[in-house]
Amino acid sequence: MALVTVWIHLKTLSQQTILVGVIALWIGERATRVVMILRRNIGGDLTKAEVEALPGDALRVTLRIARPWTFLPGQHIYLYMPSIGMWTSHPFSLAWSEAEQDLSAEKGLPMDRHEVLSMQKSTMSLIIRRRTGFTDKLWKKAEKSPEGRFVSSAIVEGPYGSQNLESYGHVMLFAAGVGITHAVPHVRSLCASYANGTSATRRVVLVWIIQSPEHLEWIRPWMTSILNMDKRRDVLKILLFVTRPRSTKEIHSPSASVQMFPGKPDVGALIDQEQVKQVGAMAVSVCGTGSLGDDVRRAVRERSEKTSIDFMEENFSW
Amino acid sequence: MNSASLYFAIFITTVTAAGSSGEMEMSPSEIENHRISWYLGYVWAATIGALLLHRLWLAGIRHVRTLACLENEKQQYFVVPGSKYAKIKRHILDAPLFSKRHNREFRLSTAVNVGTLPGRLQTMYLVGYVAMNIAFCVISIDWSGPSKELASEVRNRTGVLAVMNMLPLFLLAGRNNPLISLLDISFDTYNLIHRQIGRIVVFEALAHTLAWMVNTVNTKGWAIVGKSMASSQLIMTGTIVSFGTRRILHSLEANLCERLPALSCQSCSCLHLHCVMHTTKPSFMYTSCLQLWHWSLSGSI
Repeated sequence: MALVTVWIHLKTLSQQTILVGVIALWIGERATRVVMILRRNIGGDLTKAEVEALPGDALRVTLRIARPWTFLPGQHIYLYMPSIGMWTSHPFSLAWSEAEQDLSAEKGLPMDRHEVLSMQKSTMSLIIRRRTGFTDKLWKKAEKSPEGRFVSSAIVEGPYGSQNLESYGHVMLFAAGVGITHAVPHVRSLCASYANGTSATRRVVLVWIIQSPEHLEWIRPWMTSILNMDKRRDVLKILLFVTRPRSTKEIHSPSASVQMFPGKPDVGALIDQEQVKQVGAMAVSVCGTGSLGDDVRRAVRERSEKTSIDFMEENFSW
Repeated sequence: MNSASLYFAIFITTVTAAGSSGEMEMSPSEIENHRISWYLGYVWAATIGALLLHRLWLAGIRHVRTLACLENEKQQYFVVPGSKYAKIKRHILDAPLFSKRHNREFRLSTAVNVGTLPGRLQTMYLVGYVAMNIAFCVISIDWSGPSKELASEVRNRTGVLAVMNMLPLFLLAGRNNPLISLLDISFDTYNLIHRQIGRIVVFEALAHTLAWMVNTVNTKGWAIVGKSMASSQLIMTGTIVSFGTRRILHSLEANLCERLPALSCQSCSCLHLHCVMHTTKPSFMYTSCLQLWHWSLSGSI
């Protein structure tokens, strides 16, 4: 509306041409969204979302996208669920992808490796923390459904963004709460590339800060598959910090490479420990609350002149 | 998909920033306005160019580092930082505005969040952009000339700049902004710049409106102010946009500190519309249509 009014205002003036550009940019952005949505969500089966309620006020949403893309760590999407949020779109990080055999194709048994790969359709998953508005409605619907899960149609706009940490010899990923959704794909991809010898990464340290051990359920199946990966003991170390444990019995370290501690971490001390045995350039990434981000940022900046450290922050802020 | 939209965006922006020139006789101040529009375009191009170079340089380093370390278990060469770049990262690139606070929100209570502080480099860029706009609004204007010419020059200059700034305003507004993937800068940062440019556009439009009013009041009197708003298409649409964009600013401002100037603009504009209505005594139908148009502006983004 404002554009129309300015257009009329400039009827006699040469600056009206500038407005052509403005309008073109606006239309271009909206059109790109529509094209992306049509391209990804229409074809064969329409996109479906399976929503499952998790302990600790969270949801796991597994998306079966009509025409999926190649999953890369760091990607995020905008989710539309017309049955819950009408036309509104909501940004979420993609936390996991799983390749499934697409049995609906009528090609018979696959004859070679190419055919096996082409029959696979990937599903992608999100973890959503229940807050207010859309996430609250979604959670309530899942909780009321049988077995705490339901399937709904959905529209996925994406993928947006991706991040490659394979050039760093040493990677530290800090995550708080649902921020783990950003870290998990990196852990999987870096462990895989270590095993394949396709990256510089030799050490991956995941620090996850959670309020209670029940939040571990959010990513349990994915963590199990990561912990079963080839050669992961040589590269991966996981530190879990439980800030509000209900008893000391809840805190137990399953193994040397996965350790659990009560309370909040001393971010500076953790980075110091890694810096002492740093391999190559280090990347420190943080995804979580603003104050954790600020703490990690300060800790990295204080140490960034001693060894090579790059800081990356993923935030939900404006 | 993204490279196509990038080329399209650049093409559209440069072609239209040129405006239509050369066909008609232009007065010296019009020529100056055109030149300043081009300067603004050059600044955008230079910013994008510099950021692109930086990004390509980093990408090159990372690629070489990956290849060099494929068979290298200790990678000691890459542990040692380049001291100049490490200092730049510490004090400028990664630095929060003051000593610590960046993404931890300022909360008046658990429910009310009034925003975050931008980082140091982001703040430097935003301050620079605002200063540049102020500079462009005031250079090459004959401040000692007669007030009629002065006011009309200021009116023209601020109007041109407000419209020019709408180009980056709309480009940086959306999630499919091609500069996100080109420069490897997140949508959140562009949103910060978009909001700042929005404030700049609103204030330039306000200055534009005031300059026009000063001129009209001095030469023809207050009655003509209201009459033009009601009857001249140029002035009516201008009034609507001027008020409407101020309302948008007010309704979108999350940060309390920025709400106060927007609120004062908003109250001035409401008072003003009220005065206009009184001096011209237009029909009820007309007033309500105007009001509806005005309210709908703030609802549509």
